[in-house]
Amino acid sequence: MLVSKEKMAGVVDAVSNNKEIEGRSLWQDAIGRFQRNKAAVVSVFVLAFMVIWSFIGPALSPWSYEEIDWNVIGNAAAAGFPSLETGHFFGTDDLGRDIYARTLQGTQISLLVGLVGTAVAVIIGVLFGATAGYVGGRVDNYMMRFVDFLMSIPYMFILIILFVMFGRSLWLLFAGLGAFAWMDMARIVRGQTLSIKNKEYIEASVAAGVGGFTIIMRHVLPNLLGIVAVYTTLLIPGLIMTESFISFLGLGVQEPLTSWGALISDGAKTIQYGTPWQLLFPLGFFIVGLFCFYFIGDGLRDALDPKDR
Amino acid sequence: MSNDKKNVLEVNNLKVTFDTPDGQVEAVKGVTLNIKQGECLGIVGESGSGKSQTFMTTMGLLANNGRAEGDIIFNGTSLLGLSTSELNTVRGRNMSMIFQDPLTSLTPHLTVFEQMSEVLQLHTGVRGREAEAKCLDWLDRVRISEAERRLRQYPHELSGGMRQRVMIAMSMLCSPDLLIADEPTTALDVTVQAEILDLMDELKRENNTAIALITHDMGVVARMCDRIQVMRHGVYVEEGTAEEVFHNPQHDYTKMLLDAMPRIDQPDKATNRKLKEYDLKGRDENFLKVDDVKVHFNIKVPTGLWYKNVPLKAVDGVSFDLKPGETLGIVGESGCGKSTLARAVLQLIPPTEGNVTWLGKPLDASNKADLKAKREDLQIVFQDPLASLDPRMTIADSIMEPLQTFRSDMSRTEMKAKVASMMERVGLDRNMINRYPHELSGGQNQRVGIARAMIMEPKLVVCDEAVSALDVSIQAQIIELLMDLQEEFGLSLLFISHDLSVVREVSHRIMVLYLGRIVELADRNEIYLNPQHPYTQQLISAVPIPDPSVERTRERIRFPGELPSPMDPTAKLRFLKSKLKANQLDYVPELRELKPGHFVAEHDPIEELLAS
Amino acid sequence: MFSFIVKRALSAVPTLLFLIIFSFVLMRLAPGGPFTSEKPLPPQVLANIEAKYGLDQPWLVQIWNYVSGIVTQFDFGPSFRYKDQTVNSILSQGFSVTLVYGFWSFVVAVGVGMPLGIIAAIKHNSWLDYLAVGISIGAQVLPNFVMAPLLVILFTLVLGWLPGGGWNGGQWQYIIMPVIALSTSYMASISRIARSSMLEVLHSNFIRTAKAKGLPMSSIIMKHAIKPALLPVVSYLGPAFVGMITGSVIIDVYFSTGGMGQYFVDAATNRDYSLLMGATIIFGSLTILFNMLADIVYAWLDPKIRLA
Repeated sequence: MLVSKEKMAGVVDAVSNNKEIEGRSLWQDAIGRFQRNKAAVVSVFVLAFMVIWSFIGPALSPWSYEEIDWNVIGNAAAAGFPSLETGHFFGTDDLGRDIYARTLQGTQISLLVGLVGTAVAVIIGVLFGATAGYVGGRVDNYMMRFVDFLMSIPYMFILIILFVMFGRSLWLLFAGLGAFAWMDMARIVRGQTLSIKNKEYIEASVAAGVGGFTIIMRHVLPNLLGIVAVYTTLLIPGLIMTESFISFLGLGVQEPLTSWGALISDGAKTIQYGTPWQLLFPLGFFIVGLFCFYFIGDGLRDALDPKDR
Repeated sequence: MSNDKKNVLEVNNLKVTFDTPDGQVEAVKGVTLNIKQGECLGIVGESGSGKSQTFMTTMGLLANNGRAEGDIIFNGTSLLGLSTSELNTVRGRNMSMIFQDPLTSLTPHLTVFEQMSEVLQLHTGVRGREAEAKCLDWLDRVRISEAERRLRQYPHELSGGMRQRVMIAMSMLCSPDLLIADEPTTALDVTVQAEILDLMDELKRENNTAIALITHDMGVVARMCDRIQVMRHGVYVEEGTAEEVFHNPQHDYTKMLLDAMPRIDQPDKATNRKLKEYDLKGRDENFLKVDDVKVHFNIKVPTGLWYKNVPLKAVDGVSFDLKPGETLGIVGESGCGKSTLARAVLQLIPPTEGNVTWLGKPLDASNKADLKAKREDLQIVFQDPLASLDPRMTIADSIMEPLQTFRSDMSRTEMKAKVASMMERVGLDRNMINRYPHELSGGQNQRVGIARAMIMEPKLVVCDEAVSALDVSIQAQIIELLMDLQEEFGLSLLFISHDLSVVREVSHRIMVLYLGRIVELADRNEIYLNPQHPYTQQLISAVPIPDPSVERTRERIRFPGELPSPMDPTAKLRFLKSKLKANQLDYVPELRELKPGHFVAEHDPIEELLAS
Repeated sequence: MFSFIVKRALSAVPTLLFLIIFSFVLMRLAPGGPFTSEKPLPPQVLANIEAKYGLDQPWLVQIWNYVSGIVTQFDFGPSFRYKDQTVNSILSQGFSVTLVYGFWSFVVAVGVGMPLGIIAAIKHNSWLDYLAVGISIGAQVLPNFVMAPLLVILFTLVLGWLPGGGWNGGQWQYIIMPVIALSTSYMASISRIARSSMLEVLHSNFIRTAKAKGLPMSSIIMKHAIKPALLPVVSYLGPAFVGMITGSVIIDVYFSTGGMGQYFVDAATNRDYSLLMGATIIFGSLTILFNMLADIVYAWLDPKIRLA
């Protein structure tokens, strides 16, 4: 067993100028990796711009989202085209309502539905998944069977039935979307929790007398955070898409409120009448918004996914 | 080796470079070698030395981002620069390769026969019955039990050892001139390793096949190789015949490797940190007592339409005691329950039955507060240094964790000071205090794990394969550190390892586990010099000794058959076949005290076992 | 394998039952009965109607009658709104339409997506790979309700090649746009999954072994790589099918194909509860059935499950 003490001491002397070296945590590394992903960084700025615009933008237009321009009504194809003069920057719909104002309003609603629905899904999913994973055994088995079961149900139909029965409201939209979108998150969190739970550092903490609750707070949750962050950013566009789907069928948010899906639906119904702006402006927002979320999600995944380590 | 035999493989000044995001990395920096017919060349080195890449290049298996320069000549043909289809006429036919990980190296959805026969069909055109006969013949030659049945089986139905045998049979099908073996036994248990190595040695002699054996294990090299090349950082530092390299090493690195390698026959080598002889004077005998501990898990086994719960008896009635300041080594092969036993002692897995008594009082998982208070004196060091540290905490925070639990009276500054001094004690620089585990090497992380275990100055530390994942040179340093700390703090160690040589070096007493039960327990010298149980004898004879002259003259004890699965009900009576024949399937072999301190489990006479 | 299929089929039964009972209870929970929504009917008339539809009986009896009607005679009862028609006769008209373009959409999504992903992985970092990646990134923001109007703009309004809607007995001109609109985003997902799993398989140890045997690349891919690479694709087929079934509602509404989705949305807006339930149960059974098929294919591909 040849260990040269002198050599070791030499190394210590050489390195130690007795200054503490700042370590780079995994988060710092991840931020660095994220910043190198150009598409993701650009997406963050575009999305931020979109959010700010959707709140400040309406003030720049003479029209509000529910005001009807009586000069245009019934003659949208000829008079409702986009124009700076009339103040309809994106044109009007067939009822003479301003598309610019409505698009920005729809942006607010769509993002809100996406965020709140995601928040609901994340809360249920993380609690459910973490509990199943941490408790394990039979409980885990039954809980995951339940998730499998829910996933084999075509939830969109149930959701539509719910809207039909209980009326269309923003609250039902939040709750309904969240309640049917948490299963993937629960699966991912459960898998991750299981693997963290079996890591030796958890055992080391138990051996060091650390209590169960402290272990969850100190070791399990911080290590879950990365993967939850990634799937949260990927869940938002998914829910925006689901809401748009429902709104496209005319079953989503209630007029005069609107959303990307409802606007796309309205625009799509009238394209043969020569009013493409009614479709293309909301569609542009929809596509750009979703792309941003996906790019940010991909960027976060590359930056945080523990598979790489 | 006669010199007139022709060279099968010649490599001249080979350089291998990889393009990585961090720039060009030169893995192999100008390597030259040759292998003659019927010769075994050993390529030895620690992880990252570039030993595998040389031969990956030879086989045309270099990763896409790799580039090779130099010359590789196989049977007179230059291989570098050949197209893939030209190379395919050579590899698998004249030159074949077996890999380290037999579990993943076979295609999961093809049967053994499908995988073997495609080689025959491709290179020799042999198919159908003839191919089947040939595959069977080779499976028999690699001594697989029930060869005919194995042909129809899928890889996941075979054990690791069997899969490696299939790999060898498959690579020998076309009687190649050169067999490249890349760490072929690293993932296997020591008794299986011994058989695989014997098998390869036989193939070399019978078929005159040249073998290139890539390994980190000096013992394996000593047993197998005619010539040796020692590799470090992409270059050869020393080469020569086995006798030259082992008995008269020239390069410092070779000397260091040989010194660091533990030897089962010489636990107290001149260069070793000596184990302080243990004496009982003035010590409290009532330290740790383990009484008939059992740990059973329920395993789900599919039975037709439903599942059945079958108990897996991971630990099945183990009793021993440990004295203060003593080291007890626990050895056994995979699935013997050694890690489970250690965790049951610490109550990390509550035992199904049996008691653990600590300082005269029972250790009991049901009394949480009491157990927590006692944990201050009971610590554990794990096998995988990186996995045992929370990746999101600085190493100082990890080391500090026990202090936060037990010393709420200390301020954070005081804790930090204590952590810093402990870090220096285990050989970590104190200015690394804010580092994260992913920034450190494996050896450094293991020092962190040890610092965390030692910070409360515990009375008992369990080392669960604490040095197994480390390169030998690092392993030697960590062992030395553990022994120093033991002396300094007077602590007791439960030292768990699959490696008998390491265990013999560090332990006062050694316990051999087989399928959850003790088969033999004795003083470290007694158990090596006078082993009684056939399993102990088999284990000891299977451990390779890094000295060719000793290794090649040793006689080996081998029992037919694979290491049985713990789920096999007859496995427990493998060394007591007479009871099996008498149809006493539930019989539990008894542990008897042969002479004071030497316990042996009941077994049939060795001659009978070898004969059957 | 046989026991696996039996087990899997048995586990589908409670799911289906739950779906039926859940939607049944949901209907009954709806504020107001099915006939109270419009102008108030005289109590006597209402009682008569309720007796006719069996609504005056206890819930459990109603559920039992409903379930046994479906199980024994595949009978979903009469429509609450279209007085003379049964749910069966309405849905069977739509079902054949949905089946036709649904089948083709599935064929296109799998038949184009899978080879595209696999070839992209084999030709990693070639222009084909970049094209496949580009398509799959682009298509994730082109769900059916975005594709449909865009296709109409292109093929109907600009090029004038295809009719903008209708079914016309299932002539090919009427099928093309529904199929493209429905399949694009799933094709992209399948190709993305196939590509990444093929890449992973190609880097695995057993492919290295196959190369070391001297096998040519073509047989390495056909014999060794394809099957394991398909496993993740197969496990995605279930969700993809659910998505497509859901998406068919959009297609039916937007292209006026007369498929089941259209009746579903009509029933939803008209509060025709028995039709709504019938449609939900058929959609749900298809989903459950298909998930089961996908699981069986998966088990067949993976010897570890097949032999268990």
